Amino acid sequence: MPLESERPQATPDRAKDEEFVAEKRFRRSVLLSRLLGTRELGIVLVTGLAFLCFSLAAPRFFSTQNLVGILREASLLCILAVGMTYLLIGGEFDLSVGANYGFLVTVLAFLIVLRGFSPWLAGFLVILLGVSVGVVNGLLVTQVKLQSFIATLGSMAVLRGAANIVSGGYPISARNENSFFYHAIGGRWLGRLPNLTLLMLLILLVGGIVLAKTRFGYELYATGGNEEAARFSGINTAMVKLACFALTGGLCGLIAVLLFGWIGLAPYNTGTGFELRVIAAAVVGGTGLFGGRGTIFGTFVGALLLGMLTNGLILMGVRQFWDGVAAGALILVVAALDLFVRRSAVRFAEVSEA
Amino acid sequence: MEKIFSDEGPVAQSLLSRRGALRFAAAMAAFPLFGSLAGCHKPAGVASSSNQPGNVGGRRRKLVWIPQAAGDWEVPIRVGHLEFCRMVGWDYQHIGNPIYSVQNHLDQLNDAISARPDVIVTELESRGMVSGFKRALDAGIAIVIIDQAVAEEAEKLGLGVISQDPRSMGRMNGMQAAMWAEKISGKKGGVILIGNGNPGSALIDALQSATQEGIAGYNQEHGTGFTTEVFADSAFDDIATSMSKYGAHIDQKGDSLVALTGLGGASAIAIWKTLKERAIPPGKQLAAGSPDIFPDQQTGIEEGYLQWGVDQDFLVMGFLSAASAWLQIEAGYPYWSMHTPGEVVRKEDIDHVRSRTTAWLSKAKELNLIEA
Repeated sequence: MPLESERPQATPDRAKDEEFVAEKRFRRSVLLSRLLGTRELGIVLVTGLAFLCFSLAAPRFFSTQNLVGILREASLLCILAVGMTYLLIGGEFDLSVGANYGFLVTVLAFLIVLRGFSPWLAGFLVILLGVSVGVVNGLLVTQVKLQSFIATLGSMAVLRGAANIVSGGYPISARNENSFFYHAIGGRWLGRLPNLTLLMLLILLVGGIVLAKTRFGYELYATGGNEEAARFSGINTAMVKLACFALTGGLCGLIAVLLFGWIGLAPYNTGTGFELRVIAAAVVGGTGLFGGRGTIFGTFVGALLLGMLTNGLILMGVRQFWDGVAAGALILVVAALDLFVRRSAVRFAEVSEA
Repeated sequence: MEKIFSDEGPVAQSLLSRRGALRFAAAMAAFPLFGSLAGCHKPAGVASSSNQPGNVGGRRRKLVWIPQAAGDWEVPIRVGHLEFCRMVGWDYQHIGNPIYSVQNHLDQLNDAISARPDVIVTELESRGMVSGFKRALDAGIAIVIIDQAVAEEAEKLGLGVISQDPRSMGRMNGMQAAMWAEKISGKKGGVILIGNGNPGSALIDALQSATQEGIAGYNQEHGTGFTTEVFADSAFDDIATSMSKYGAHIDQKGDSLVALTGLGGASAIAIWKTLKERAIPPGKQLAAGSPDIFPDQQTGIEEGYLQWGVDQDFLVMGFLSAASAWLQIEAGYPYWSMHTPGEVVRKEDIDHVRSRTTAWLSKAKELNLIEA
């Protein structure tokens, strides 16, 4: 090892080079740190890996028809998951979404088929009704101060019962599926892409922009991150949460309209267990259960992964019942990977700082 | 104004103060409660004669129907029950049980037993229900098994089953699936996919194995080699999920798939909607059908996407189950197993079946069971 005195003195040019290299290294480390810090990294990696595995293992997986099918399957889930992501970021959640969706599709069919309403008007009314249900949930949480778990658990039971009362436990079918309403929703206006999927993409885009680029998005993250601090900063946290509940309710109405327009049928059991899939899509996509964290992009990837899993496992010929086990195991893997990536990011940031 | 004393001190209140009103209401509520517990309370409006039809000990007999889960299939059953109860002057109660779950069903059965009706009509879809059945019998409640049963448990309990014969219906379904598969695809072999909407349920599982037997029987008789593959199709829970599962299976099997069948009306509807959505030409590429023959299935058959259904006449099932209970408790005549008709329904039979369906649908509307 050379002594300090024996080391060559740095010339101005050499010093410049070293400075340049150090800056380059610093930039690279910042970029890597940011990348590792991205909550969606884990889920994107897993989704990519799953996509690759299914494409290799199941010959029919990587076909246009199948991929479009996965997107369509994820459409209703994704649309509702936008609302759920907002709620989770705001530190709340809604267990009644599945029941609300089932109730609203029944009411919609009731209005169109049994009361002769125009499908468009009935659709509008059902979305309004969904917003109202959301507002009631929101008021229960923000004004009555009930825990969202309790408030929406109660709503879930009420709405499920109400759906059965409206339908009499009997599915209601559309009588004129040739009208423009059904073609507009169930059709494909842009090549092979179903209109349902186009609408989903639009809602994801708008949802993402509102969350990332508007004052409301900022207030929502602040509310979920630290409600008290947000309130002291002048944010009306109750109003922010109420808006999220209303939005989620409205989206329940929207997917009810989309389901009926798509299949022309309102089964009384619509949405059974749907709430857990919606929450799973958001959480797998990196949205924190305790508020303040999450993105619409992550939720989209989470919903895609869940849809892809069911589809891919069937295409691989996995025997019945194992698909549920595999899907559950994958959720655990994603959660663990997400945790690992986040811890690595923290460690990397500490090392970089040092 | 009367001066009364509260815990906080003397306050002036009217006689109809909130506390007073509550005390009064509590006393009024307690009176009949204690009365009924002491056996001395008689509700107003009940005829004193026990000789009137449907009356026992001065009160009307009551039949409670606890379906395994809520569903379109149980609406005609309710119509059958109500028709019989109206005829003999019995009270009737339908207990809603929205989700397919043995535990949920057992809970509802136990709740019904606590209410001490004269008759309970329900399914014995799982061995898990046996304890509830024993409790009901011990409590002196007449219990009638309807729609589905674990045969050996029903036998041990000494009860008959009023239902379609699942073995026979399954075999019919299997024979139809294989026959239409051969006719439509022109092939002598291939995969027939069987969607099970409620795995673990006695009737559905019996239908599944009998459907497979029916296909095997057809193979033997006609020298074909159709194979079967079963999967949980989620049709009894969520139609959108079910459609995506059927779609994925159609993709996976590709050209080897020759027919799709479910084990209940909900599966048939999911199959019909999947075929339609994928623009698979009706009756040209894949054979499809399922047990049951609900109005939407009938439309599917009319459109040509489905080739067959099997009617099990739920209205008759409901009526016979109530009549069996009457025989037991009014005539002391034990009831035994009875099978309602199992009729294969094809496109040419739809008009005939529609008129039958319209009859029970109109009655269901008249009885305010449904609006549809």
